[in-house]
Amino acid sequence: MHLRPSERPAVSRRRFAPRLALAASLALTAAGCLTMETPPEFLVIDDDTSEVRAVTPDDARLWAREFDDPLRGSLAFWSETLKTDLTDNRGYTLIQQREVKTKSGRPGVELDCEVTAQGAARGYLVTLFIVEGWMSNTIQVVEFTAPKNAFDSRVEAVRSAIATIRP
Amino acid sequence: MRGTMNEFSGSAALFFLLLAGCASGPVPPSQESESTEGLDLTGQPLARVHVFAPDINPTNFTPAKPSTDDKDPLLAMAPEDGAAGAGAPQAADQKPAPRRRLMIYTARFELLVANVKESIQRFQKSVTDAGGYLQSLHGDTIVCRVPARTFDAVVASVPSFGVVVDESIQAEEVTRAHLDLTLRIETAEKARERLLKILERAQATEDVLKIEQEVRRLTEEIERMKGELKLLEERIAYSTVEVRFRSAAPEPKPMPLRRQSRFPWINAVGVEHALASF
Repeated sequence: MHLRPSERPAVSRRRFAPRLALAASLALTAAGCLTMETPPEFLVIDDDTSEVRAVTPDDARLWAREFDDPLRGSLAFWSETLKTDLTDNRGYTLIQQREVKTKSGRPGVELDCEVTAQGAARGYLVTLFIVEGWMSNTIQVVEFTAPKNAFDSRVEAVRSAIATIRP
Repeated sequence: MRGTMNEFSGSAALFFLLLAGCASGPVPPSQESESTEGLDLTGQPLARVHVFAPDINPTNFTPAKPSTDDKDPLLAMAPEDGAAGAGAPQAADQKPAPRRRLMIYTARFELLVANVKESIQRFQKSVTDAGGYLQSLHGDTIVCRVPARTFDAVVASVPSFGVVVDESIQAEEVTRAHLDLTLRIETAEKARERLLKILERAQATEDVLKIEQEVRRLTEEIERMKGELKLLEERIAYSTVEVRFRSAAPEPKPMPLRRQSRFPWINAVGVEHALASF
């Protein structure tokens, strides 16, 4: 038994509408609004829905961003890919790699590196989180770089700030 | 009356002595080589400067110590007969003996070597073995001082360390400068001795003060000139050899340009972006 053509759109529309709403809702949830409580010494110069940028007078820079991930790679996959690119392809020195968690319990991976940039040694801390979505995942990337002395003195405050990242 | 005469004689003696003592400039050539009277303050003829005449290999020169030894360092090189030293007038037709030349030697080399670090170490060791010492080592350039007597041998050995691409040797004659300095010291010392003798006899306070002031000035001048002489003799005794070592190895290949990741977001992170985007 076949439905008459005139009946099909009505049925489909009824079934599709809730799914579309759900998808939109999930997609919004996945992307979310990126927020982070920056350390008090940092001056926030950009704080929109998808990134946070903050600086200090001693050239420390904190940058949190989100990237869409339609491939839905795992945290381990992306952290390994980024680590390989930094160390094998760009000359970064990996000091340590460790697992971290936000205050809400989301797992992440932190790469602590050193690199010479513009003729001076700089510390570079990059932390990845994966936010799973309905249509695609979101990769949250928080980067912190500073000249070596400033990096060492500020890195713990930055780690505390990273733990506050949401969603 | 007697006091006035004493003051007058003391002042006159001081005046003439100051005139003589201040004559410490470069010695005219005629005095330098032949004269036996021009600078005579103590009765000893200054024709002793003839002691420069003997032909002695400059590389065998050993610096004297004018500050600790009363003997003129250059007198030690005088011929044994002492004819000139006795101040006897020379016959007009007698040819002056050839004057010994005092030279400061400086050699500079640029070498191509296979291993810069190793070559510097080897060269430094050879200099030490030759009695020299390291003066400075900056990057790939080493500067050494070697005894003048081994200068030729060290210079001759330089090509054994690599391919010589540049070479220069400078010889600076300082005979005149050395002679002038020696004579000025001698003159000043004799003037000071005379002043001290006058000081013993001086009675007027004003004269004593003037003489003491002049003695003090002469002493400072003598010490300064002795320092200059010592430095000059050290430069004569030790020649300078400077060698710059350059690697003959090919230049290292530049690092390949960064390959772009196949994942765009990875290409967008990193210190370089953080520095450029703020």
